[in-house]
Amino acid sequence: MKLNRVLSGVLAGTMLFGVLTGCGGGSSSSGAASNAPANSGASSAPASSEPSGTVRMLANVTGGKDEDEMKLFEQALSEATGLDIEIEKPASDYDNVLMQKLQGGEEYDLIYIGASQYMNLVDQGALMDITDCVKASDILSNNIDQQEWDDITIDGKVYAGFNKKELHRVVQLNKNDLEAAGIDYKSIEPTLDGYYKVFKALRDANPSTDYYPLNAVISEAYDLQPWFASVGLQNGVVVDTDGKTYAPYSTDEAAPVWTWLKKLYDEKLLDPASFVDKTKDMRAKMEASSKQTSVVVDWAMWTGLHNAHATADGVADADYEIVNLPGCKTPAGSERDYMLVKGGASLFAVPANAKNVDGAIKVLEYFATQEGGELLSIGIEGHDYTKSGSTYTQTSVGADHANDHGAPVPVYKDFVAPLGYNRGVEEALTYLQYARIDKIIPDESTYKTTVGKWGIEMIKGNVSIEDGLASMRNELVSLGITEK
Amino acid sequence: MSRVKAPKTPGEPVTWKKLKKNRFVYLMLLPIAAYFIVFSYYPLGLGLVNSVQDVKILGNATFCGLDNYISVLKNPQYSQAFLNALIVGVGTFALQFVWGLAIALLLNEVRSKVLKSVVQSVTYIPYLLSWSVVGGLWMMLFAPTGMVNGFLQAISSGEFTPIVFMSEPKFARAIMIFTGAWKGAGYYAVLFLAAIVGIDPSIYESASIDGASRLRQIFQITVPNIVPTMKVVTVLGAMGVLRNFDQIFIMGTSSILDKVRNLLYLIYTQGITQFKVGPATAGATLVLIGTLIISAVVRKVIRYDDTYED
Repeated sequence: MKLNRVLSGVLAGTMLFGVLTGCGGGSSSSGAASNAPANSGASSAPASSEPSGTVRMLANVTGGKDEDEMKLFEQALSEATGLDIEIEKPASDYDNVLMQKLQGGEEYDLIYIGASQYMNLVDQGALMDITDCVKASDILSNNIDQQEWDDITIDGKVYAGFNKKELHRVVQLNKNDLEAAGIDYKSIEPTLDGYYKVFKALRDANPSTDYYPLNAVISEAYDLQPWFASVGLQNGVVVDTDGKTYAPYSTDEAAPVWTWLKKLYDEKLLDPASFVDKTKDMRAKMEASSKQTSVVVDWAMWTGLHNAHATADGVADADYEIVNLPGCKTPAGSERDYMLVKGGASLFAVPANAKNVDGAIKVLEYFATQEGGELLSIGIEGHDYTKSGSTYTQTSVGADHANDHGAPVPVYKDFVAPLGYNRGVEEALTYLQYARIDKIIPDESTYKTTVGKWGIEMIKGNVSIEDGLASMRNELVSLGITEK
Repeated sequence: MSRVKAPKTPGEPVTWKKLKKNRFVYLMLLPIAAYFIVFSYYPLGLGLVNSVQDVKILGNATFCGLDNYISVLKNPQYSQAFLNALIVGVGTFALQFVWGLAIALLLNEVRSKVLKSVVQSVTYIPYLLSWSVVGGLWMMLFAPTGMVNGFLQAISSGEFTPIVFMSEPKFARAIMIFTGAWKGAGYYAVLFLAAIVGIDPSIYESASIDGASRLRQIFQITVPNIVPTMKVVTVLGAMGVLRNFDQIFIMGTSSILDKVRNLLYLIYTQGITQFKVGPATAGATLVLIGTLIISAVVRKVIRYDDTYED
């Protein structure tokens, strides 16, 4: 009997080992510590001589699409920088791999991270302050817009360089559906009422029960910025004049937009699946093959991808075209005419235990040039494209890779896309001037689920707009996301 | 079962004698023991150490006593997550148990071997599929344009407004329990069926001669004879009550997370996405302790140990 008890205890422990090991590798952090230079805010010295040696990179989206192409990518990057480049690209579950690698004490010179991870890692002292290196580099200082650096500066310090230029989300509209409803998209009145009329006309033209004029990922408070611009409110968390953080979408000023969204839902103009759909579902409904919606808000590049997919499927350009608009105009006196969201930074950071900081900076510099941008976008010469003089010709492999080897739009401010952009992207890019990055918050996912949850409750009418907003505010404060 | 004590040999300890006698058995156990030590108990130990440290992803970890545990226990999200895990876990187990038992009992009555194996395979297959497949499938069925709404529309009169099931908190736990039980019922059925097959056929023959109906045979012969298997299944189920993660990760939407977010989901959020390793491992240790307590209570209540004694 005693043996049974002991064995069952052992069994229970064994079954749960995964729970602990999932977060447990980290005790080796003490082991890592011996190799990790203290990151007490001291800036690393700027590169003084020509960097050499090996640069180890942990990448998520950057590089070749398969093992063979990754080797070619490493080779091309090595030749261009004069460094030995080693890139590791986990097949999946990047965040988990990144955490375990760092905790396990593995040494990389560059790691790929998103904006939210950037904040968390800086907070943990896991990244190296490279402010002085950036200032000392003509390429990094001059080839990248100052705004980009400002967006990732924390307390006057920079801890990463850029993987790509972040674009913005725009209102994407199916031009053919609009024309069928008698609407010229360029004449749409940029107000909530103007768009309501558009959705109403689209619904009248297509009464199918599977079709809804507007789709959005409301569960994560995504894609709503062009509509909240009508009341001049920005997504995310902002700081008021007293220095307190708050979420504009939860304020009483946001009520007209939530009321408008509820009206769209009540009148079957907003897809009810918006409460549960993910971005991929929304995109699928916008594709030429389904046409279950006519208006979405999505990244600028997706205008081109929708159009390119349709062309690849043999749909004539005249039968399917996605076009762009910047959404609602802001109230008079606003800083910008329109308010769009720019993507959270996509970065390459230098970990605190990096061995070859100079080499890492050299790679970041290369990514910020025309040549580096070409490698990150159209790929490898002789593999993804061929070049004769100034003429670039895409290979079939390159066409499959859709001008994306980590950066569809590189960070170099004067970058010229040698093969051009997909249909509709140029128009979308004209609205980049209205986009701003959201304030980086460490627990972005909790913000999104909280705003999404109360937003859905208000839209469905389960709570009044007033009560819903109050609940949203209270919950954000209680979770420590905002202060008021 | 009677036990006879081996006589002690003067000068040689009994333990050593036993070890010597069974040395080949222990030798064969060595690789398994090494596997568990390296891949289970060593990381488990590291996790316990982390739970009392202020762990940074790079750099020295410092001892912080029970601070991580206190922060976890003070966090209202954890108490809600514990409640959610308990409700969904116990509900799923109970439904899966009854469902699996019903499948096994019904399959035992089926005489056609082909039909029996087809039904067994069909009910078992969901258990083999990952939650990304099963969760995606059910989310599609529960979608506004999915089969469930299609059925409701077909039987409704007048104007029909589709229900967005996966965004309705009132359906959230029921959906998780139902889909969880649907996925695992076939597995339990296999366990029960294996026990049923082992019942001595002569008992049924005697009962038939005595005029017992099939229904009476099921409830008075089959069910009592598989009680030991039921107890094993119950103990295993109790160990899994707090361990559900994949289902909630795949099927939890922002509207229903408050009702279904469980402990492992919170631990994942803190440990992986926010790099807060200390509180996450403290939370994981509490899950371990909770599981041990639940298992012990369940074993006591169902008198599990009595089944395997004498």
